[in-house]
Amino acid sequence: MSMWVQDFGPVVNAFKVAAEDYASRSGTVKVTVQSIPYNDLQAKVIPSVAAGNEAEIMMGYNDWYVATDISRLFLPLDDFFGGRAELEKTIFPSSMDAIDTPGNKTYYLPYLAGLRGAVTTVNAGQYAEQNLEYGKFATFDEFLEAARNLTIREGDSIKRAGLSIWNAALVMLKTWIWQLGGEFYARDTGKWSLSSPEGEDILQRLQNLYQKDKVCNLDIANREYEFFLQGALSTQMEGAWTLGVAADANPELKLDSVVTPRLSDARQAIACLDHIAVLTLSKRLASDTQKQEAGIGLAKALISPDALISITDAYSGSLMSKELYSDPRIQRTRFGAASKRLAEGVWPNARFTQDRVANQAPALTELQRALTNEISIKEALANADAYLNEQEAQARERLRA
Amino acid sequence: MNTLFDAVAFARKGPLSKLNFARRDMTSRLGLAVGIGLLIYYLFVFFVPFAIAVWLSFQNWDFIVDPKFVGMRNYLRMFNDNYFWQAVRVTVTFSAIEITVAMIIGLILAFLLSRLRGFKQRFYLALFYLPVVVPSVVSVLLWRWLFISDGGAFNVLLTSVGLPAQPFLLSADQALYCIIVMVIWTFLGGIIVLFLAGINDIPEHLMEAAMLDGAGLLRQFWSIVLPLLRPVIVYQAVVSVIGTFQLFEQFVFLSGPGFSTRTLAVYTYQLGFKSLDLGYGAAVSMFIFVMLLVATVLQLRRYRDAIEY
Repeated sequence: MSMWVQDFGPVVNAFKVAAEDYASRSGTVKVTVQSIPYNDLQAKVIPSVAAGNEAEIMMGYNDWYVATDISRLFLPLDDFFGGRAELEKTIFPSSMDAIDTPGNKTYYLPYLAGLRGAVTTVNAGQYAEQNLEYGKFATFDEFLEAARNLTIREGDSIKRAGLSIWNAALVMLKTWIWQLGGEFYARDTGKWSLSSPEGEDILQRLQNLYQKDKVCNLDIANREYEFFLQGALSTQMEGAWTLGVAADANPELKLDSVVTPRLSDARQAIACLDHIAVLTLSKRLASDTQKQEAGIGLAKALISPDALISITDAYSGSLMSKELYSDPRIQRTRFGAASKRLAEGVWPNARFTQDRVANQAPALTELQRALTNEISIKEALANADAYLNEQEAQARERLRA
Repeated sequence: MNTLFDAVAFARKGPLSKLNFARRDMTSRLGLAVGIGLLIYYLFVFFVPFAIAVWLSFQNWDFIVDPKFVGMRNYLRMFNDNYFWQAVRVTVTFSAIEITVAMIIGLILAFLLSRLRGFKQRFYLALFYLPVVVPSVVSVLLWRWLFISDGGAFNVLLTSVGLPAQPFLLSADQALYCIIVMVIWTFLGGIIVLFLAGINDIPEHLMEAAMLDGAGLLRQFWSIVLPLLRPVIVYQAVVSVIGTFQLFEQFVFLSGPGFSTRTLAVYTYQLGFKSLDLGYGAAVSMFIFVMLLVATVLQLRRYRDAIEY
């Protein structure tokens, strides 16, 4: 048996512990864990499945699989986990919507999520210096106001940026269009329409951060995380995972993460999510009863509170297990309490588009071009729509075929 | 036995003729085996993948679902795809500047090195060649550190002499040029070695005659070295064009903002492995192939016209 996992220390460790534990209990099963860098893993999984030499258990991300037929990639899991309804008793239900699956069957187990955009991470020390109580902010507009106070300028340059949403621009655009009651994707037709009055309004607000309020500049925006680590950025929305990683990289920083509050003019509380880690099993297991039993056993072990609890010692993002967060041990791990607070704050309002575009990075780049005034807001939205519609059409044509 | 033909005739008639035939038979069998081996190698490593890529360029496929034939659509898509043309612009700009600058510098340095002898020449040659043997990931990481806008080595140097710090890789206007500098540094050693070998092949008496006629270094370079080195220059240009179109990790790890450093090679990879748009990716790779073919043929035509001596 082999397992492929992204080369993120705490997760690799959890895989290894589960593998060793299972192997020692079974006595006959030998399990190898291969840790692979993110980009290599992405380039490896689907071609390997096509060639029939993929690992028995694989970690991956939902957006890698949306542009193809997931039912032809992985083993259906309903028979082993009691179907979606049963899984929803232990896993956050909205995480089961991360991919539009044929027949509403289950082909993946939601595993963990960084929650980009849905979580705001702050330099708590800098907020305290300004007497800003971010924990009490009821709307995102209060973060904008705080950012103006936190920004320190030196002549034309910015010594400390108050807020940056550079890498979260696309997911925030989607979230806020929904919050304002708009829509940007029609699931039945596959039509993208970020170009809308709501879309223009939101992108204008995001652009204002960089062009009008000047709470951040391009230099800092391009390397949000690095500047955040150096204390040169007070607020960023890269995701909940940054809390743990940044705390390790620079222990002197006093950091905290909160669920991103809604806009002041929001009609509904909603958070768009587009990128979560999932576990999948090889289709080859269907024809090998012994390996299938081992694979299912290992997968169950990997999503059990016992395995997940160890991850929260180093990882501050969300894990998908409701069971984990109801386990009292969660309060005793280093990031357990934060992970629980963020996960339980985000998932009830989380929503996925269930689109078919695997690579949305070019759409994000178009928005970023508008943030720097390289192109107009209308042009950026139109370009993003054109790209997304083209990709969506290609994927839908393949799926129809 | 005045000619080679006489020698062959003698051997055929002589007592060793049987042994010679046996040897020749063995040699031709070995040659046949090597030839077939190479043919099979090229068949599977080049021709089959190439044929698959051609076929794929007429399909809509994602590795998994059944391929759907789409005719010329993937090729037509290219003409309306702004990202594609942006990648063409980046690739051509990069290749043109990188190759021109690297070859000019390489030529000058090779000529200067040819004036040195012994240890000095070997020392400088080794120095220039060193980056070629450094693993590309290591040199990319090194240069990324040098180009860091806040506290990177280049900006520390600039500010220490009173010049303004530069954004380098953070600027859409500067990022491509940063990669050009890095790539020139990496491959300059190879160019110098090739040019130096070419210069060393130029008959010494031509240089001596020029010196006797009072030609200085610049005159020798311009009137003797440059014209006689033309075949080597054309060869280097062909190899460089192909090489620059294939560069990948430099553009992935030193990427600039937006699409400012996205080349055709990177775009093809993203289409195939990130977007699962393999058919279109294959069509783009066919475009690269045709571009390289045209560039190579044009350059080889010039090679045919090159001066022989």
